[in-house]
Amino acid sequence: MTIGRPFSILLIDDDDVAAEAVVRGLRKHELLCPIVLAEDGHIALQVLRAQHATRRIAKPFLALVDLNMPRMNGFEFLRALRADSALRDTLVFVLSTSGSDADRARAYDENIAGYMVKANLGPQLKGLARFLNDYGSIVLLP
Amino acid sequence: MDTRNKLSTAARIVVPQDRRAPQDPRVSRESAEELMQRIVEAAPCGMVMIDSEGSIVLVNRQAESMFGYARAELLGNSLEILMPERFRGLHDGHRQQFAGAPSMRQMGVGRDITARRKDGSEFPVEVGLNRVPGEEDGLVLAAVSDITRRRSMELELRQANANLEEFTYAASHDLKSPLRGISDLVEWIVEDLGGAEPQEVSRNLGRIRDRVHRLERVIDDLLTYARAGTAFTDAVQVDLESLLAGIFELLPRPPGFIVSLDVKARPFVTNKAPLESVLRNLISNAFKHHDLPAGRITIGVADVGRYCVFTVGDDGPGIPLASQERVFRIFQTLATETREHSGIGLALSKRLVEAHGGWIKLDSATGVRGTTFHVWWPRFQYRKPVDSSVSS
Repeated sequence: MTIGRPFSILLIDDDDVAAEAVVRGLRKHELLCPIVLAEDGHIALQVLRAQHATRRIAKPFLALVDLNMPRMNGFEFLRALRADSALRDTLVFVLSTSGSDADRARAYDENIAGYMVKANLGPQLKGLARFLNDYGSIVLLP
Repeated sequence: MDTRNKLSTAARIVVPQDRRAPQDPRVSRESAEELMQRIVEAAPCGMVMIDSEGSIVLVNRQAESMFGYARAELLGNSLEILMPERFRGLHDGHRQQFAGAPSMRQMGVGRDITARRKDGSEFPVEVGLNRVPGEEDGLVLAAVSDITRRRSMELELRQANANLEEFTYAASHDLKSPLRGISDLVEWIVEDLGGAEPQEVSRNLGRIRDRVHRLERVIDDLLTYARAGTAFTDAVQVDLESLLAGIFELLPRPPGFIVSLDVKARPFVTNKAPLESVLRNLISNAFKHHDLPAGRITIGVADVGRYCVFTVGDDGPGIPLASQERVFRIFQTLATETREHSGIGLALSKRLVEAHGGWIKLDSATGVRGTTFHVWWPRFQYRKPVDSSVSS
């Protein structure tokens, strides 16, 4: 079995508790990859464009994006991302509290890799940790 | 041809030549015209007839008052004076199109049309058109209704629906996320304390957890309630015996309970899922709220007029008169153990029944045992399935 290169995660969520829940959940299930936080889409773009004062992310990485955020929400972030020729190949999973059909359709319209509803990620995000582990070991990221 | 002659033409449509009995006093040309006049005047909507040139040749009193013109001002004038200026050029093309391929139809299907009063004000109208067959070609009769009231009700409804969608969206995102956060924080506190916390603290943490879970359920229930009756699935043929059998498959009868069925209704086409959930709720309530270990549930289905009437009766404690209205309201339960009963079932059932054009009612008397619920469910569909994109 080919093991992919170690990857990083860009976690975009305005709710610090929700973000910490993801970090704690992944750590608890032994996904020890570097995780970079961004509080909204705007900050995420700064990090991706290496314009942020302190935070950087290196390839390979994937992004986990919440939809409901102030300033620049998930949809606006995705649109900006796909419009930027240097960033349009970014692999994005949406991590949302909403199971709404409309949200899901809109997100897939922006070529996301997958739409996940937080409530379905298993106890303490065990399902997410296992998924990302498998994904990172099988899929060659950009 | 003057107006009078055109009226005569129209009169012959009302009382065709060949059907007139010679001895009938209404046969004369004069009285046929009078009859025609009376019918047009008595029509409950505005009537306007135009000739092939688009000139008004006949109006009734309703049209006069609707448009604010006296009859003399309208007759002989172009129909265009009844339209907003911006439509005037366009209408000529439509009119000629209609004259070329006349058929009875509504005007302005798929778009809102407005008419213009003498004072220049506009109002929304619905116009039905038909060609008047007869000796003279190109006569078109229009029935005009002022739909201002209906339009404004539609707007209010649309606004109310939009508000409801906004509410459900806000409830599912803005209430759920922080709640999930609180629940996570409690878990972390428990983890970090690692069992070293005083008993009081651990008890209170448990109480926070309980309340968070209860609130999560309340939000889910509210969303279910708000969405009930908005998603219409395709109607299917429903056989009532198998519908009830399906319900009992998933809702085991508690030991000691006797269920008697009396199905006298014919199968009919309806939205099965909501009907099933209403019946399941009533039957499960009959079991759940019974105060004795043994009981009897009587279920009847019968055709009554255009409704299928379901009755679900029990010999439980009954519902006091004072509480009977309250049980249909959301989050009201008569059970003392609120953890088990969220109190949404009957409110949801009522909403589902009413959304499908039926109604629900309960029979119970203070001091007498037993409650019977009656559900009138229409045997034909009131509403067609619509795409519902209410967020979850």
